Formats: sequence, C-alpha cells, structure tokens
Amino acid sequence: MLAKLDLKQIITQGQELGAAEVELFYQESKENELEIYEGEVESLNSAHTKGLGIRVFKDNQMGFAYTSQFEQDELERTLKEAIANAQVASTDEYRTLPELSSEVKQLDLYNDQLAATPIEDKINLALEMEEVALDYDQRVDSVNKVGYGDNEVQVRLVNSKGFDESYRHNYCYAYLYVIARQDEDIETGTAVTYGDCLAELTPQQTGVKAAEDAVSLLGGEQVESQEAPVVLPPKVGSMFMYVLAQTLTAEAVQKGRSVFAEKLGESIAAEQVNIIDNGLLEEGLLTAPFDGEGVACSETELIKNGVLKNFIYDTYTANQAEAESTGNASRGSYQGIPSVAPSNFYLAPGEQTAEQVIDSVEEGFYVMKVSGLVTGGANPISGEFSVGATGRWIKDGELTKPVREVTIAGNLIDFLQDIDLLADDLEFNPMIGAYATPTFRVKKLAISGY
Amino acid sequence: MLSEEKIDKVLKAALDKGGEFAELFAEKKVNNYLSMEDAKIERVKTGYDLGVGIRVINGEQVSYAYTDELSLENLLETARVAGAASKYQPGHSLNNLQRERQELRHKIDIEPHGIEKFKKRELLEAANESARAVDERIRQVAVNYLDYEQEVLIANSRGLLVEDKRIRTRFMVNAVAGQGEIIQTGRETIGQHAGFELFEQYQPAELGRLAAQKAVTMLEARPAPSAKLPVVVNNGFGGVLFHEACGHGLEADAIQKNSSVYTGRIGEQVATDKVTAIDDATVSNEWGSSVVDDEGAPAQETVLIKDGELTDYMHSLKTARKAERESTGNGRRQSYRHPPLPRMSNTFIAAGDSTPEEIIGSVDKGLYAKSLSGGQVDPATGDYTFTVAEGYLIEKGEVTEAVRGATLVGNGPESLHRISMVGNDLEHAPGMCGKDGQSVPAAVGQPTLLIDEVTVGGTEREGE
Repeated sequence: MLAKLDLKQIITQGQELGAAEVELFYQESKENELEIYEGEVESLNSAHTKGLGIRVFKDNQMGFAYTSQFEQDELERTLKEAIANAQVASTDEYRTLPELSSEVKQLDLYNDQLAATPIEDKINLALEMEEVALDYDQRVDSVNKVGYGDNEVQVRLVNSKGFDESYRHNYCYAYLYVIARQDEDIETGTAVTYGDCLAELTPQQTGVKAAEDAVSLLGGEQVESQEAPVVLPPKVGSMFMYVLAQTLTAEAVQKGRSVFAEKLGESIAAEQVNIIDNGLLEEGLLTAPFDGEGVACSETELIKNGVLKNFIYDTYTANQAEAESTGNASRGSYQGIPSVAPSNFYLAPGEQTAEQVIDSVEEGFYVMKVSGLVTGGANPISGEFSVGATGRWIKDGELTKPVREVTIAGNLIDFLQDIDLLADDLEFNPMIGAYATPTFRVKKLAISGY
Repeated sequence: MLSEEKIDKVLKAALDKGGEFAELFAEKKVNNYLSMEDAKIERVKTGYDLGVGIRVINGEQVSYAYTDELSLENLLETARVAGAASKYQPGHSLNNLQRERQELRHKIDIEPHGIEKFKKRELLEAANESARAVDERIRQVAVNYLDYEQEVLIANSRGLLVEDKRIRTRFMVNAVAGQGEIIQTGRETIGQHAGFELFEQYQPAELGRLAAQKAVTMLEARPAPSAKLPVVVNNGFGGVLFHEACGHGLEADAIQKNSSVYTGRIGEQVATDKVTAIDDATVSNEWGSSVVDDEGAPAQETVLIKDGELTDYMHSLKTARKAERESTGNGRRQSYRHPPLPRMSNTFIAAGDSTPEEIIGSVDKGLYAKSLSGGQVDPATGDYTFTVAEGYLIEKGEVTEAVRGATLVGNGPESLHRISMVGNDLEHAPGMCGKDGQSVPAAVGQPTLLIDEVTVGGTEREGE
C-alpha cells in the first residue's frame, strides 16, 4: 500500500496550493485482538488500516488535517483544509518544522516470529491464563475478562525540509481481570504481560498475579487515619510517574502548569531519585528511532541524584526556550497533531530486593491499587494529590490484613523528597502508557480512614 | 454511503461459512477542532474518517473486522475475515433488506461544518478574554471547540437497513488561577447533539467567566477535612457519580458475566425510595442522544430504578439475544473500528421534590460538592473515588467556607441506600464515557441530592 502513495508528490502539491512547508505522517497498522470467556473464544477482532496526517506551515501559522482515503481529490481536499486551518491559527514564530536531525538510529523493532504466529497459539495462551487464574484459589469467582492482542505499525515521515525516514514495529500483550468473592465481599485483580513475541509473554505468572491480587484483598477494612510509611510496587508507582511526567514537559512549564516550573537546577527529590525519559530504551514500550515530527529519539536525564536537570521538549517548546528538542513529539496516530509527551519514562531502580523494602517497614501501608490518580485526583499544577487506595498493612516487615476504602494524600514535592528506599525490580505498566518504577518506599504519607 | 446491492453481497459473504447473524456498520465522519491556550489559537484540525466494520455472531462468539478501503473487493475480503471463524449452522439465511425510517428527530438548526472557521475562532477568543478579565490572578486559560458530523449506515442479516446522522458540538473552558504557591483550576463544559445554535443558548464569554470565577474562589479555599460526612452533590455533572459507580453495573454485559453487584436483583430495593434512575437516548438534542443506536435499534427510554426498586438493565443486541428479549437501544460504539457494547446514552437520576435550599438546610455539618472532576470506579464492586473540584463546608444548614483537595471515597450501591433527599432541579451534563478502550459521548445528570454519609479524604493536616 505504501508504494501506491507518492508522498513527495503530495508535498509538492501542498506547496503549489500555498503551503510554505509540508509534513506528511503516514501510518499503516494491522491489529488482532481476541477475548476468551469460560474456556471459549468470545470475540475475535482484526483490522488493517492506514491514514495520512498532513501538517502545513505558512507565515508562522500551522494547520492540520487527516484522511484515510487516498484518491486524488480526497488528498487535495485534505491539503486545502490543512492550509485553511493554518490561516485561522495564531501567528507564532516558534511553530516550525525541525531542522534535519543529524542521525536517526536504525532500530530493530520488528519480530518476524510474531507476525508468523498462528491464531491457535494466541487463543491457547489466553485460555491458559484463564485456567491458571481460576485454579489459583477457590475464592476466585470468575475471570471477567481475559484477552490477547497484537499490533504491527509501519510509520513513514516525510517533510519539505528533506526528512524521509520510516520504521515498523510490532508487539503483543495479554491481560486478565479476575473477580474473587468470599461471602458478600468482592475484590478484583488485574495483570498484564507484554513483549515482542508470544514466547516473551508469561501467562502462568500473569494469571497467578491477577488472582493473587484479588484474593489477598478479600476482607479488607479501613485503618485509622494516620501518617505512615508507604511502599509502592511498580504497578502503582508507575501511576505516580504518569502524574510526575505531566509536570516535567516543557509545555507544562511554559504554560504555568507545572509545580516544577521555576525549579531547574534545584534539589527537588531525595538524593537517590533518578528520573529518566528514554525513547531509545530497548525494553521500552514507546521505543522508536525518531519522534512524531522527525527528531531522533534520545535519553534525557530529568532528575539526577535528586536535582532537576531538564524537561522534555518537542520542536515548538524547544524553539520557545532556546533549547534542544529531546525528541519527545508524540502524535498517537495519524489523526493527531504532534505535541510534547514522555516516551519511556521511569524512576531508576535501586539495589535492594522488593522483599527487603517491605521488610524495612515496621508499620506501614503496601498499596496495591490506587483509584482516581490519573483521572483528576492529582493536580500537576499544585502538586497536591488525594487518591483512593487499596492494599495490605505492613507490620514488622510482613504483609498482613487487607486495607480498603482509605485515601492517601500528599504533595508531589514532599513525595519525591521522601522516597528513601528503592528496589531493583523495574517494571513498565502498559495500562497507562510507558511508565515504570521499581518497588519503592516513601517515608510518610497521610492516610485517611476512620 | 453504500448501495443496497453492495451491502447485500457483503452480508452474504460474511455468512458464507455459516454464521448466525451478520451486520455491517458504515461510518462517514468529519470533525473540526480548535484549541486555544496562552491566548493563542494553537491547534486547528480537520479530520475525515470513512470505514466499515463487519460483525458476525455465531452462538456466543463475535468476530469483528474493519477496513477503510471501501471497494467491493476489499469489503468482501473483510466480510470473509469476519465470517471465517463461524461453524456451519444451517438455517440462517439472509432476509431482504428493508429500509427503516424513524419518527424521532434531533433538529439541527445550523450545521457546524459549514460555519466559517473564523467564527469558531471568535468563540474561543471571547471565552479567553472574559476569563482573563475576571481577576488578575488568572494565570492561564485553555479553551477548545469541537464539532462533528457522523453519518452511519447499519444493515444486518435480519433485513434491517437504517441510517442516522449525528451532529454534536462541544465547548470547554479551563481556567487556572494562582496566588503564591496555591494554584486552582475551574472548568466549564457544554455539549449537545446540536449544531452551532448551541451558542445561542450558551455564551462563550459567560462560560469563560464562570470557569475563571470557580478557579478564583478555590484559591481562597482551605484544605478539606478528612471525615465521614453527609455530602450534598450538586445537580448536573454530579450525576457522574451515579453513572460511574452504578450505571456501568446496570449494563447487561456485566450482568450476564456476573461481574455486577446487580446481577439477578430485578425487583429488589437497591436504593432508597427517593431514587428513580433512567437511561434515555430520546431526550431532544441531548449530548448522548441519537435516533437509533449503533446497531440500528431505535433510541428509547429505559427506567433502570423506579422508587428504589431495580427494574431493568441496558441491553445491546447480543445481550438481549442471550436474555431472550429486545434490545433497549444501548448498543453503542466509538467508531467503525469498534464492535458495539451495551453502553449508557443519557443516564440520570430523576427529579424529586425538595428544593436545593431545603437539602442544604437539612445538613448540620457536611460537605457541599458543587462540582466534581474525574473519578474512578471498580466496575465489579462499585467502589469509587471522585475528586471534588469545587467544594464547600456546610455548617448549620448554610454553605460556608470553600475547601480544596477533597476526595469522595465510597461504594456506589451502598451510597444509593443513603440518598435521603432528592432535589427538583434535574440537569444534564456532557461527558466522554470510556469502557473497554472505547469512548462514546454520554450525558450524566441528576438533581441536587444528599448522601447521608460518604468518606471524605482531604489534605488537611494538624495545625492547619
């Protein structure tokens, strides 16, 4: 399909229609998804789609339009619409295409084995996960959802400054959602596994993990309101990274939406805290050779030994700050206008094991689920957060009774200052993007219960 | 969009391997979006979407395939992919297509796609200017405008052929106020199944002013206390609490998988007798309204809870088939790329007979949640967490100080049993509802109401 579309010709056409600069983002994807319920295939989805996002610049104005139809008149209509849109946008000298990126690395992101995997193997993997979870404990009532999916994406970016690069990548994932029941009490557990091919997925471990999470939380009760040490495993810690990442984009800083806007060069976190964004990370989920506007992806140290070192930039925010783009323009799909966003964003691991971190706590809260954190429970501007939490109480280094219906509250600044112990089990949480942490301890947070 | 002859061939190909039911969903959509921040029109975008999704149901199994290549050859191939997993079950043939016309209309006065882009730009500028004029402590204003026109054609092997055109327009203002280290935000959103006439009813400048005032008010707020308190939830978007914490549990897919606390409880008292809850896609021009759902079933009103008694669930074709009944017209999908699911349309708690003043006046010490922002719910348990964007203390029946950082934590089904007063001021509010990775426009709504006890998690520390 790629061959049919002459992208260079479309750029010329756009310039003839009046655009000074033109950028084309072509994306083609193949998706497969399936879900199992009670040992049977419940749904099978498959798709093959493509589309073109057109961004134009004229007189320091930017416009955008996209289409999935490539007939000549359809392309012309989309080009004209993008140009008309530019004319409505504000004039802004910082709205430019990036200058040609010096070197775009060639990355191997495509796994032939995955592309050749027969559907039966995928079905069996999901069936296995369901079975493992159901067999884990009598109190596992049902596996509400268990599914497998894979995705293959091909991207080509061409612009009027001469950039013309492409890549393709594929990945697969499987997930489940388990319900445990004991008398009137219901608890849920979820787990996800992902990788470049089926062999990298861990159906046994993942099935057990979801079931274990659900069962171990049965019978939860509130605890007394107090300040106590809190331990966060990767699944929960990564959600705090999601909130933190929003405050470390140059856009948030420039628009007064970041609690860290004025803090560059200052110590904003405990000394052992290192926060990194790395678009080239081999085991990352959003790894690519170049970003959504053709700037080479890179590794950026945002917080080093507790000191705020940098923010993440795209071309626009970098122009405005007279800085360099860190290769963090993201567009989601051909339907999106690029904007600055994190790539693989993580809190660097420490040296202890997760068990040692839990062991270190005499009396504290091991948080297994937070609720509301990524849906408004944290304010990236003030740094304040207050979220629902479920987990287990730690007593003398042991996980004891389950805890539910409490909130944990604090401020991101104190939170970062109070991170005082890091484990070595760095793990990404694909449910919310590409954020990762190891298990870590926070000296104290306000817990409100009864 | 597609000729009947073409549709017929595609449905036949989908059933070629012997599936029981085949459906074609074609969608043509154009959307326009403008956004403003830093007093600049930053993003102006137009999108053209066109595609077809084909679904084959075979027993309990659903196969779905979609494409954006609408040639007959490619549609037939997509149909064969969707039908490939079918096991041959004789006796399921194709009925002749019968074009259906619906009585219901959502009248659109001014189609937004044809409106000059500069006119849309003016709306954003007006909201931005009035928000910034409210107070010098307004530090940032973000405004966005969206309109779309979605034409759908739905045909199935039972002979259904129906078309619908949905035009929706939405406008949002988000204002940020700051004073020293304290920063607060205020938001206003409007949206309807309507065109540009929406702005005759709502003035962007007024929305900007309201959002900014909200942010400024909250600057003065002190940290919310942590306690179990009576909570008065304001009308309109306050209904998001019911939507998230109970509404999803009344969708028939959750019921049939026994993953809802409401499974098997029709006829039982699930709320106080003050509570009547309704899903209604026929409300004129409401955000979640349509003429037919995304499976071609007519939009309808479904009473879910009547005076506290559980009366019905929300069904799609598939769940209705399993329950041996008719769909309630709740089969909805994000786009041709998504198979339909049982989803809410406009779901709300019906008006009661108390005035908002009486409700607040009845509370000795409590919280007035004037506006909620987002929330999260575990669908299986109904456990919820909601953030109060604008909150006040209630002391001796009077709304007093503003409080910030309050979180409501509770359980939806339990909270329904604690609603002791329901107001007479029902209002709807637009939202985007997410489920299984699909997002659809859905309106929430309620009158002002009192929940006797909710856990409020605040950020207040000792000494503050």
